[in-house]
Amino acid sequence: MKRRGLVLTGGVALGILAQISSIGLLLAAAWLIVRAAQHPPVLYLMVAIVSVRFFGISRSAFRYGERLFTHDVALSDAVDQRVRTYQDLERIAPTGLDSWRRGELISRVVDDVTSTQDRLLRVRMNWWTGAAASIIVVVVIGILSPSAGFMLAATALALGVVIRFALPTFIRQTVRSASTARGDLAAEVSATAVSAVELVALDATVVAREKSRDAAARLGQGQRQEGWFTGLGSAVVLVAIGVGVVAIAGITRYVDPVLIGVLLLAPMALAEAWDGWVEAERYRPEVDAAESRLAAFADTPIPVADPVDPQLLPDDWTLAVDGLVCGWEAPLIEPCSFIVRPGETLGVSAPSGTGKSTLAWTFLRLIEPKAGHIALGGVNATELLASDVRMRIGYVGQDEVVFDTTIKENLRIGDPDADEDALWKALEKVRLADFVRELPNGLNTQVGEGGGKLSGGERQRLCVARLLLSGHRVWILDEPTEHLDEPTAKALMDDVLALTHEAGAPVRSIVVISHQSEVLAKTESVVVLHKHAVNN
Amino acid sequence: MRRHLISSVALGAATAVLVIATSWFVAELVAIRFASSALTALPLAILAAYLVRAVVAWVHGVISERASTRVKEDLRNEVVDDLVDPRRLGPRPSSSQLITLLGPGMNAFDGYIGRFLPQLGLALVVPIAVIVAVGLTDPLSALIIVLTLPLIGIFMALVGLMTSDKVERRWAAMERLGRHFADVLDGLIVFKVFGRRQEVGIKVIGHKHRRESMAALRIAFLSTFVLELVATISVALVAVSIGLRVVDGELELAPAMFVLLLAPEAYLPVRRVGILFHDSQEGATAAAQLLDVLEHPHHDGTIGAPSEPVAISFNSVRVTYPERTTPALELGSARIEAGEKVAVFGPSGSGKSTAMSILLGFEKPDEGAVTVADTDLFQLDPAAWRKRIAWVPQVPRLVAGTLIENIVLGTPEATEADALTAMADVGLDDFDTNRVLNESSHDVSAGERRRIALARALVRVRVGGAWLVLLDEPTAGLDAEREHQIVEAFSQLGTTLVLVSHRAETLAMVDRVISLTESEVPA
Repeated sequence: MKRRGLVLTGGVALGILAQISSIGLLLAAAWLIVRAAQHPPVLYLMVAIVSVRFFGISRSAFRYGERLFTHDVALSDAVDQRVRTYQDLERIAPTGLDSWRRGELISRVVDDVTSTQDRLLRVRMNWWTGAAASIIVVVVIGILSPSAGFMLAATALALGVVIRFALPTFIRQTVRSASTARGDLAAEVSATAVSAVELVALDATVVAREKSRDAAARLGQGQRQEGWFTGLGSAVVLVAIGVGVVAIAGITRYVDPVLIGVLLLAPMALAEAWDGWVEAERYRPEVDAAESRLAAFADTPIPVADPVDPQLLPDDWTLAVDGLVCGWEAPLIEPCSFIVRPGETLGVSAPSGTGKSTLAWTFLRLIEPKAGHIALGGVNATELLASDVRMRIGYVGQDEVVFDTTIKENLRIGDPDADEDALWKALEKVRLADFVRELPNGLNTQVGEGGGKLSGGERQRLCVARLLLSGHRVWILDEPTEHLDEPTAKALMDDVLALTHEAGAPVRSIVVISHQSEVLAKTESVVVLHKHAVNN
Repeated sequence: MRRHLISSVALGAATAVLVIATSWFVAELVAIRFASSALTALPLAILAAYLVRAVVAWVHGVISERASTRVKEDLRNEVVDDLVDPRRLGPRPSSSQLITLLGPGMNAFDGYIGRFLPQLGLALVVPIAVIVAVGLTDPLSALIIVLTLPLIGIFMALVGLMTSDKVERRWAAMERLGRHFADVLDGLIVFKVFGRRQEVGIKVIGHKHRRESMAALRIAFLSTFVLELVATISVALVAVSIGLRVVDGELELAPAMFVLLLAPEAYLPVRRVGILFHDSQEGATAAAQLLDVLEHPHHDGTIGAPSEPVAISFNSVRVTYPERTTPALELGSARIEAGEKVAVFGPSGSGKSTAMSILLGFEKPDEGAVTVADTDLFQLDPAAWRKRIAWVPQVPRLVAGTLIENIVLGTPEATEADALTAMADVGLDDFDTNRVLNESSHDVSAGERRRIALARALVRVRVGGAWLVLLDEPTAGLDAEREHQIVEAFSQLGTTLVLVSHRAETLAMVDRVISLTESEVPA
């Protein structure tokens, strides 16, 4: 934090010095030439000559330093912003994210975080250095000729007000619609990309193409209007310079002739500083929109609130369910009750439409139950921290997420500290070790986006191995054998269900949610869920 | 592009004339005031010149943005068209790669097309005009400018050589950052379940990206540093040289002022081009990525596909993926008769899905061939051929729209009644037909998605005239009763049917099993 402050201060100071250098170059040269026209001895010009040469060199050096310092701060800030946004998203997942489409979310978050860097680089730096340079020049000119100083101040102030307050009204709506279009485009492209193969097979690509074309066209429309604004901004600055020069010319009849050049050229010297303000206002609406979108995540309500005064996580991991009803808006099942003691296996027979994943997510305290209680070690789960509950209860779903990295890194999500021995042991237990050993890169094989380079069965076994590596006591398996061929599925279920005990002692209990009788037949007991009967 | 270049040069010429005019007027103004003479119409001339300059600058801004926007829009459309091109062979780019490329990647083009090219017009015309004007007033100053201007070009080339590699690294870091974040967002639930918070990972990758960016920027900014240095030092040289000649009486005040005001204008456009130069390199790197995405083998079949069922044969087909030693699919010879129902059987990873992909014309075998009534499958027009196929993939996708729209997708001629019949056949009749779905509908289970896709396939056969049904694990996630019902519906279609399944009940509906392995087929 302290480093950031220093670097930022340095960057701003260098930025102001760079502006002053380029202004100084023109004004010192103007003074030099006008003074020279009075034909003094050359010695009288030495200070001006040295100043001109100094400003000629210093400008680019100051500018270089300014850019490096401010970019360093901006990139650092972006990392923090990314972490904050992740924390917001993590907090509201999964239910809080329902209203966002995946592509839109990714594009927004990545783009928006990048945009927030422009708050410093393009908006603040331009205004700060431009304003500081204007004030310094106004003060200097004001000392030489108060009336010229007043004219220059009036010009700068009027221009600043127009650029800051009048012009943005033209562009605000445009930028908003362009950024909506940008989000729409990303969402359409993402949706099209994930279903491209199917759409092509169905020859049903027209709608997808039209939608992204439409979003691209709206985006283009917005960007064209931004060009209109930038052009207008440059025009306003040029008009201000012309007006400033003429206004100062009108009142300089009786000033010391040697100052004429400096006074008349002052507005021209400030051109660059003022152009920076236009650039700032061009970026401002985009940055505002990005920041408010990121802030919206922070305001989204949390799906499951933690208790104010949470109980300690009990050592006992008996899972007791009493009258539980789960669902999103509407209840999905009739109330159910059961107990799973350490080392036991339980099958939950869930016909289609009873929301198997919803039930699993309710156990994991990702969503609130509609009614009834879940108790862990005799403590109501609502009195525990949700993250504590998830330390005890683990989960493998039927289309479980596999990350676009190596097999090793995927396994290490289960246990970041596991050594290769532990990884191989886990792979053995889920019968994936032989497959991995045959791969040329072994544990370091990349699995592709969504685990696409693995078959459905390999993917699922990798996920069970991942869960095996973590210390979860209660496993919730949601259709664990769905994509496996029958001999492998049988063997896997036998292996997995045998994992409840190690050296005769219970080490984990397993709840299998399934509709397949072969799977359920392997568990010690079975409860049957019934679809929620609509009243009336 | 040519029209654009002409307008850019025309605007450059207008700008040059106006810059020379304003400099001349202001120089005269200084001289008049220095001599304490009365103002003539000069202030009016200055105002008028600045007003016209303002209009030209405005037009220039509008035109350059318009040109860049058009190019970007065309490119975006081209990428999406290519993504859904029926003749595309091989794997498609991932969604996160496309999003980075079409979003931030396209913005990198701005530097290239939007600002670089239009500035190039200014950079050509303005310095030449300025040098001529300065030369007519004070040849020595013109000489200084002529000698220093090429230095900018030389330095630009030198620095450009050093930066291109850094820019590529920065772009790679950006893409990795996008992919990492996409992955984290996809896996939020997994991370939440495992209690693995990703702050550290995001920080590490973020700071790695920052360091790579800073390394690239240090050099990229070095190029602008050198450009600005040459420009400002040259202006200082000119200023001191004319100042000294004014003292000696060799040069009058007005022409000296004129030269002082004009000299920076000779460097300004060139300097701007230089500043945009590293932007444009990033644009060029993004362009290379884009071309990579657009470059892939094409399906070049043109023959019409048979409209009635015919026999399909696999002859010594073999597919191998990079990074794998064992082939993804190996199928000596197999023949599927017209109207026959077969199952492709094999353990996970034996190439069942690859076989489906070949039948759909998405993937060409590395060796061997697949023939449709003695015609090579890849000589058939892919769109015409796929019109004869109803395919249900393992993880079917939903499109944004109502349930009915999802079911008649690909068979636009189907009526609502057709859709309702199909829904009843797959046990979807208790669903609200007007329910709006999208790709990430959480409350539609995997089994329900599959049934929607099965209904879609039924409609495609009954109304759309498809005669080859490809089902990949069609009854996964369904209970025994539904499974039976669906198997019945598909058995009665009278089409050729190829299915992949592990389940004995489903396998019982086929006439024959093609095994991709030695292991035993479940009875």
